[in-house]
Amino acid sequence: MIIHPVTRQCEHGQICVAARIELEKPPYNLPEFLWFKFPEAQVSFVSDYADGFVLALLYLAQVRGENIHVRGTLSPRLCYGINEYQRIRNLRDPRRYQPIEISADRYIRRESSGDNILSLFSGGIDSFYTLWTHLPQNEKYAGNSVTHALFVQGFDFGLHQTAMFEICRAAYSRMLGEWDVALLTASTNVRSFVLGNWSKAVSPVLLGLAHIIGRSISRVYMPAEYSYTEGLVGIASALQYGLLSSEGLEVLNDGSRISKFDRIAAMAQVPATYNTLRVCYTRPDGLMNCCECGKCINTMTALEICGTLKNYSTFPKPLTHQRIRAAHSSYAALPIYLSSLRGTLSQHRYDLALDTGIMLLQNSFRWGAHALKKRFAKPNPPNKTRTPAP
Amino acid sequence: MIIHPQTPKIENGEITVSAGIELQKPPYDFPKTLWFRFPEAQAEFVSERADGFAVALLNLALLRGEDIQLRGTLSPRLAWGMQEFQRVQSLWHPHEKKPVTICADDYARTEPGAGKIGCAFSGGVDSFFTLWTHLPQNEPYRGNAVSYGLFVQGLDIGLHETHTFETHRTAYAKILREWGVELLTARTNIRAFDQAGDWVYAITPALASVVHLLGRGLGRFYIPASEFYAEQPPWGPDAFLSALLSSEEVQILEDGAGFDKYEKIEAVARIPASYDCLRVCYQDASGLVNCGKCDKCVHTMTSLALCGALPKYSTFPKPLTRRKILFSKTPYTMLAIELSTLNAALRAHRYDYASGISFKLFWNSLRWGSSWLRKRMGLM
Repeated sequence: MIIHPVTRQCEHGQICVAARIELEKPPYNLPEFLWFKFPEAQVSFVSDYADGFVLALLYLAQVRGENIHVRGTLSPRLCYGINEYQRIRNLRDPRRYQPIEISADRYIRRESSGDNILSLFSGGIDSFYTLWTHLPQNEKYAGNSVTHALFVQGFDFGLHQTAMFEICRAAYSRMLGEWDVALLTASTNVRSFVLGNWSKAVSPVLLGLAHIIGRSISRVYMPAEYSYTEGLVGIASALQYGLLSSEGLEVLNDGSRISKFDRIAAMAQVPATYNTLRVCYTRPDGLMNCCECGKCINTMTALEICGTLKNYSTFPKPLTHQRIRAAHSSYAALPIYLSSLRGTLSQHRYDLALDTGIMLLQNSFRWGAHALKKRFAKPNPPNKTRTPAP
Repeated sequence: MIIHPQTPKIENGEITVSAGIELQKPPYDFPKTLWFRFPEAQAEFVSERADGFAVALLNLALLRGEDIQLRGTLSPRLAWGMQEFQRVQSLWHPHEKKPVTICADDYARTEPGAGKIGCAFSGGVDSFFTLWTHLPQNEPYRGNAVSYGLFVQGLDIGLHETHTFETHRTAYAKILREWGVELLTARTNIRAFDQAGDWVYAITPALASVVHLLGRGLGRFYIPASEFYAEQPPWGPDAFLSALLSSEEVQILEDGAGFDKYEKIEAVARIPASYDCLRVCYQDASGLVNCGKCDKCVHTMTSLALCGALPKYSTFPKPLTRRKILFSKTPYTMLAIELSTLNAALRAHRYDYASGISFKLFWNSLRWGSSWLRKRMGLM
């Protein structure tokens, strides 16, 4: 896979940074250009480097087993980190992720040109928690406060869902403005390059976007999905994203110190979330959640335990026993459901605990079949990219 | 625990940076001062900030459940990372390590570091591997090459073992000079603040503390990883923890965790410079000679023998006998490392080594089992 030189164009009040992507083996059913667009007012943040493009295409390259060559410059620190990161993915799931080589025409260290701190923001629990705890008034250590948040169209909101995106952008921009945090926005067609499981690709893609918009940013907080004990591979689940830093932009995974349930409980006390909390990715409708998918149900259950579900206008449908029991959940999210289950038990809500238990039992049959399939999969042979040869 | 940084002093050709330590609850049987000494020639690298002292005492504070108050300036990035680090430690060791509060008189970001890269160097397999792979001639990404190696007295080499330290320092300085890398050295009494049996967990913050105190101008620092990403200690490999102890100035990265121990030994066995100075022994090392008896020596010797390189190593003067392979004691924490050698022996059809390692692991597993049971029953 060749990433051709990054180009920058300004039109209709937007800056578009794009690169032509040349695939080296079939299937070729992907767009010719990968692009990221930003409002022109954000021009001082937008970088022309290819660092972010490599991260955006890493999942695709590993899944296709295709090396990446960049016709341009790359950060050597980022190359180092990407190699470590892809090695971890290959060791963890050798059938899905093949080891690849990453190279560029030139390697140049990135200098940080600003002290701004960015937090990735989707309006969900994790991003609210990270943002809230790093607001100047809540931040324990002066110098760690968030100055900017980044909200993206093209991830969970499709490129055609502009009206929905605008509703959310307006709401979040107003709320963050009151907290003295500037909202940056972006749109991208990167999702067209992810053939397969988007949830496996989204983190490096998001960090790639942070590198592209990170010219005057020195640190980016990546809101953690898992706590240090919840991830399937322990702290590696939480801390591996730090590898995807460059010399000038450090990526910090934030929020893993407490469980998902504790994060929901903390956010349940923040009134600003009552009209803006958005967790659904299966059928989102502006700021409204579907109230039926596993993620909605888990969040609603936790909010119910905290006694604040009724305050949330973004969960318009009621939480019923039937809905909890019928929810569809993924095995990767099991630790999150277990933390909610522990929460229900600690609050003596045995009715909700029973429903959650039944839901997990039903889903476990599905996971069992999946685990068996994975267990007997054949791994790809390892490929070492860094063996000394004196 | 109150940390009072003191003004750096220069005497006898050394710069001493130190801090008075005020403990707030018993036991008080620790030195009153934590110090680090560096040759005067390294003055340009010595930081005047107090970040290193806070990191140095983090593990002790967790063990004692005592909050840290730093009478000085702390990097907010480091403060964030120390909070995360202690959270992981207290999850791993809930009975031994209690979460503490970390605060300082002032918080100020450190200046972003220059482009130079350093690397901890003890002369062992992991150090040789990391340093060698990041030499300018071996580094695939220009800009990631190491410029400085850091060798410390007071960690595995005791402060009284000056002869051993000097022998190593001279040998390593010569090798590194030939590779275009400058060797920095340091001495510290940090180990006096370690509680018995906990050094394996204290070593990472100890090394990070030296980096913060001697890292002015460094942008990145590699700590050679002793673990492999695929190994699973309690909740995953701890190769990521060091990065938490970075500041705005210096990014600390644990390097080499993408390879298992045998792969590293096999790679190091192809570096002729290691033949006369590979040092793995931490039990009874004398000068540049390894004891050849302890678990770490026997394991390394077995791996080198499998690669066919053991006879080239003058630092292992004692022969590797079958008896040593069969009967050496090995701790449970070495299991993954031993298994990497066992797999290599099987791949190479060296069933003599494979059977020896298997036997050793079998009888050691009985020892681990009984030790675990005794611990579980409160008999230890």
